[in-house]
Amino acid sequence: MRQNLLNKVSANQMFIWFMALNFLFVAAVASTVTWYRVSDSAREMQQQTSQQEMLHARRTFESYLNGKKATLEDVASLSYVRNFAMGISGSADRVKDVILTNKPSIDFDIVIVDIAGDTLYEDSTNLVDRHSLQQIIGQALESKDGSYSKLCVNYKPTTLSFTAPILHKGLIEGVIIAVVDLDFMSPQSTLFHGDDRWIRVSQDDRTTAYPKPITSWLTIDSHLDTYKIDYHYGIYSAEIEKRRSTLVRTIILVIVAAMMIAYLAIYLLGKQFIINPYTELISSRKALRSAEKEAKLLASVAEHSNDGVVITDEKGQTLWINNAFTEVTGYALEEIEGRTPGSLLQGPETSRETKQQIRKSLDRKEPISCEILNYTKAGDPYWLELQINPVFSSNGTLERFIAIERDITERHKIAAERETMLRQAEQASIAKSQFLATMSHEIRTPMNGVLGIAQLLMKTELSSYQREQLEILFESGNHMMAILNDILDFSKIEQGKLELDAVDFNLNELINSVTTIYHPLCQEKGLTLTSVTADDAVLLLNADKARIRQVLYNLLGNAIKFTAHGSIHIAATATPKQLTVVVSDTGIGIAEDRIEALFDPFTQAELSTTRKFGGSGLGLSIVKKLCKLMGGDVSITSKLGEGTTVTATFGVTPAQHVNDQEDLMDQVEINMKGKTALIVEDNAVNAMILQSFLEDTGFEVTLAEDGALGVAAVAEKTFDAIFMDNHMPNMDGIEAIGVIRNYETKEQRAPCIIIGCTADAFAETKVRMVDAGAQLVITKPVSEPALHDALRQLM
Amino acid sequence: MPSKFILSACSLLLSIACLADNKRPVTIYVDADNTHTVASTESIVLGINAALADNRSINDDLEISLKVLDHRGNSARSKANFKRISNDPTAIAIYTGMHSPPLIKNRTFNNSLGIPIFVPWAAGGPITRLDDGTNFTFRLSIDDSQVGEKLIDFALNKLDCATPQLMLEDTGWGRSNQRSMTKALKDRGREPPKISWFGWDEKEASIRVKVDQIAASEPTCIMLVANASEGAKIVRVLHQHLPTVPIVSHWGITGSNFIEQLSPVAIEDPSLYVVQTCFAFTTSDQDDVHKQAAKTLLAIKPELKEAAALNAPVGFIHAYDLTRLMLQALASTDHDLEISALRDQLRQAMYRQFDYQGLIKNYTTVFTPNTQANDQGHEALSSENYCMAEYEGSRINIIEKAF
Repeated sequence: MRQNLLNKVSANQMFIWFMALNFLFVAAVASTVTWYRVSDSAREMQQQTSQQEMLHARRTFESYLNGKKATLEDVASLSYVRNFAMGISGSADRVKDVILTNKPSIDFDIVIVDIAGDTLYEDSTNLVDRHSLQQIIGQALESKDGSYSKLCVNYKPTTLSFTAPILHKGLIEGVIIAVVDLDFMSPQSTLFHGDDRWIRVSQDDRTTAYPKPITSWLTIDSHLDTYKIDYHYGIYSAEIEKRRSTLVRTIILVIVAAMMIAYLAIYLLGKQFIINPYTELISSRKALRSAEKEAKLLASVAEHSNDGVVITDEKGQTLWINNAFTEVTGYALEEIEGRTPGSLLQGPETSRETKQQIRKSLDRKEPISCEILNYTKAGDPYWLELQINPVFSSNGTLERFIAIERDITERHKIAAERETMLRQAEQASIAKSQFLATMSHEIRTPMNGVLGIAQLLMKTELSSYQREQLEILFESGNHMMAILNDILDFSKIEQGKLELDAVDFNLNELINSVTTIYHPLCQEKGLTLTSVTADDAVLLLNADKARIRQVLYNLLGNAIKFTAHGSIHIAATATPKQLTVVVSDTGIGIAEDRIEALFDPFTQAELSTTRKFGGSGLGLSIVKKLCKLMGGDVSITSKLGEGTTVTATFGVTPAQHVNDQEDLMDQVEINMKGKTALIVEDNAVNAMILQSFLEDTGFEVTLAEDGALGVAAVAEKTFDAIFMDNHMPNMDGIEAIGVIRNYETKEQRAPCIIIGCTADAFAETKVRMVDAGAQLVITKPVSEPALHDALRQLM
Repeated sequence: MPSKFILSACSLLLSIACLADNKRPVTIYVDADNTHTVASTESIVLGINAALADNRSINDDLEISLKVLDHRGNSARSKANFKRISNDPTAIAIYTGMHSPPLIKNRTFNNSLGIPIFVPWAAGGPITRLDDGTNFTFRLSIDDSQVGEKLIDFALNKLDCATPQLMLEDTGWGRSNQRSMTKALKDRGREPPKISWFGWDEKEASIRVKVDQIAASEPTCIMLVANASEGAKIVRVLHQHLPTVPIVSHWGITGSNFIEQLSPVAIEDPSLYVVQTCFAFTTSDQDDVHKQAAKTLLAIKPELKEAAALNAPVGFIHAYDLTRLMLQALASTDHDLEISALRDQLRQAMYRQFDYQGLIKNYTTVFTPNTQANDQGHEALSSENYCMAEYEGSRINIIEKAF
């Protein structure tokens, strides 16, 4: 229970509770004791104070009267007054002046009486009645010392009259009487506080009025012998009690307030010097235990780590190493302690640059990670992944460095091997590309002949059987070329060598041209081919029109290929940023789990598909890569047996301007009659086919078997167009183009049209031929439509 | 005290004798300052008693007793004394003592009582000059209205004092002398004098300040009107501050133990002159009256070695001569008269022709009723009877040919 409480309450809270309870207890005790003790003391003190006050008031009053009496005696001693009283000299008219000259502060009325009792001078007749005055005079003259006093209450204000003798050579020769207005407020003014004080003076049966009822008042009575009067001073006792209570309450309040301040101060001091240090001590102990535990843990980690650990001082001199370090390097602590690890471990093959980096980081007190070649005690090299961290004290002073060394010799070995393999793979890839290029060239060249001859043959008179056979031949050749082109495209994409050629085009026209091409095929298979372009589609776009068209060919080709019945529908929409084309069919469909694999190269939905429908399996893979390349994508949704929908997107920009005549030109008849053309081609078949195509357009054709001969031919004659092969003996096409262009420049001849013809499907060759001076490069095998396109474009 | 005892004893003896012989008792009262100027009062009483002793027989049917009252110089007390005397049916005459103020201040009242008043030692001019009513006051003493002129003449002529300065007590007596001296100087073509006033019982420090102020005006002589007490202080201070300046004093200083109060200043040093009537036991002719008076004096006051040793002698001399005159006048009255009538008859008897060779002079027509033309009718002496005197020790010697 107590332990639970201790666990729940913090030391500070406990201290606060302790202080609060302590305060309450002490305050209660102090208040009780103070109440009784101070109350008694206050009562006693109040009584003493009242006595003192009353005595003081009496003294003040007596002093007040004594002052008057002293003044009176001074006046009596004036020689003028004495002579006046004795009838020697002086007059009543001047007495007042003489008195005021000598006693300007005199503030009471006087009466001067001669020894016979006759009044010689009187300030005022209103203050004392005649009878009283005669009584005063008579009594004064009869007294031994001429002194007498009488309290007169008949008139207002009440007065006290007292006398002083007028002496001549020590003998009474008259008396002077002071008539003092007993204005209590004047001499006692400092003693009066409202209605809680009064003063009364009495003589015999005469007395001043009672200002207050005599009951409930603390009074003191005393007799002023000089004036033969009784003096009474009263203090309202209820006021005394009230003051006592107020005093006691005030004292208790002050004590409690002082205790509060003291306890607050003690609390603050206790918190500062006891609780806080205690709490910090407890926390420190916990932290220390935790730190010790952690240190042990860390020490064991460091000790048993597979990585070498080195701890150095701030100068880099070794303080501690772990077992792993010793195992790797062969150095024991005794051998390396006090020395820098680098001085023992670094060797001839250690990178000077790395060493400098390490040195610089250590000098800058910065952490560093690097790999470095070190040497064991036996002199064997090994690679380290080294991480050095500076350790700072709480005040920012560098204390030490900790280095973690991981033996990465094996990893280095693997990396080296991997690099070798990569290099070999790259070399293989290059070889593959070269092989493909070579293959392409080598296949295209004969295929150029095959397809060219087939085209030429189809222009001849043939039986229907022959024509059917020839078309099969031609289609087969085209199919082979398609596969070859797919392979080449894939290869180009793989190598990142496929370059986009953005042009402005009309979306509708593109869709129409595609559907136009495939419409006959659909009709053959009894399929319905429809296309629609969204009403709000942006029609004039800029993108690689040829590649978009290639994608659409591919998608339409697949749709037609895998659709036996039903329809194929093309829907196009376009925004200024994206073109979306959806090709949907009612074909065989694709299993859902096979859809993603369709985009892998050389993959089809089913192995049986390959067998049934043929194809390289590169189509969708190329489509995917082309879409991606153009900032779009392709996705497939399909249901087995119900059809497939392929959505292809392309990144586009709005067209700058569109050559509306382009497609019209497709329809223009090529007529090159009267124009000359030079075919520079070392392959006789190709030359013959090209010659045949050109002559069909009206060209007068000259042949040259290699570049050098071509150049010679150009030197001899001006041609309207030159068709330049590349790979040729003696002088290749690129060199020949350069020579011809130089020659034209030299001869200031207008440059003729040079169309490159190459079996290299890769762009490099095309670029090199364009750079050399060709206006256009067409790829073998040269098809008649492609040739016509080139001529329309350039001629 | 011995003097007072003697006086009382004499009075008692006279009263007893009176009762034994069934004579009409009459009382002569003396109202004087018997406290502060005891010497003068004692001297007066001695003079009266000596005269009674020498001339009692002329009023054989009367038992004359003497009572002394002390007014201490206080006019009010003097008045009270006079009231008291007036209530005594035996009171036949009142002798007054030193100090003019009570007599001047109360003169109307005093005269209204109808009791003859005899002034052997008071010089105030107004004392004998009553404006209204019957004048009962007869003086045989120096009269300020005459002595002022005498003092000025002495200063101017005998002392060659070019610029006399007056030091006067601030009383009626002082003021009467101021008037007479100022008038005398004016009559002699002199500038009005500078005057310094002082009060009774004035402190010596205060007097010193006043003397300093006087010294600043470089007086060639000082005219002093003071009683013995203040006079001694003034003479002492003047001797210290103006040692070469002569002092011409009224006779007030001689009324008490002046020489004792003057101590430690020796009397020889200051040139102090004091006015007296022209008789001195030391210097006057030794005629019968003189011898008889001196004999009687020594009989009454046997402790005196010689009459000249009497202190304040003018009191005795004046009182002796005046009482001898009063007794002669009383003897001429009807002693059976009611007291007030007797008193008045005595007053009138004072105007009679006397035949008395007195100490000072030969008295014949001594008093006459005062009139507007004759304001010295109640003066027994005139300026011819005034002489200047000087102290020789405690004795006063008349200076011959002072005027």
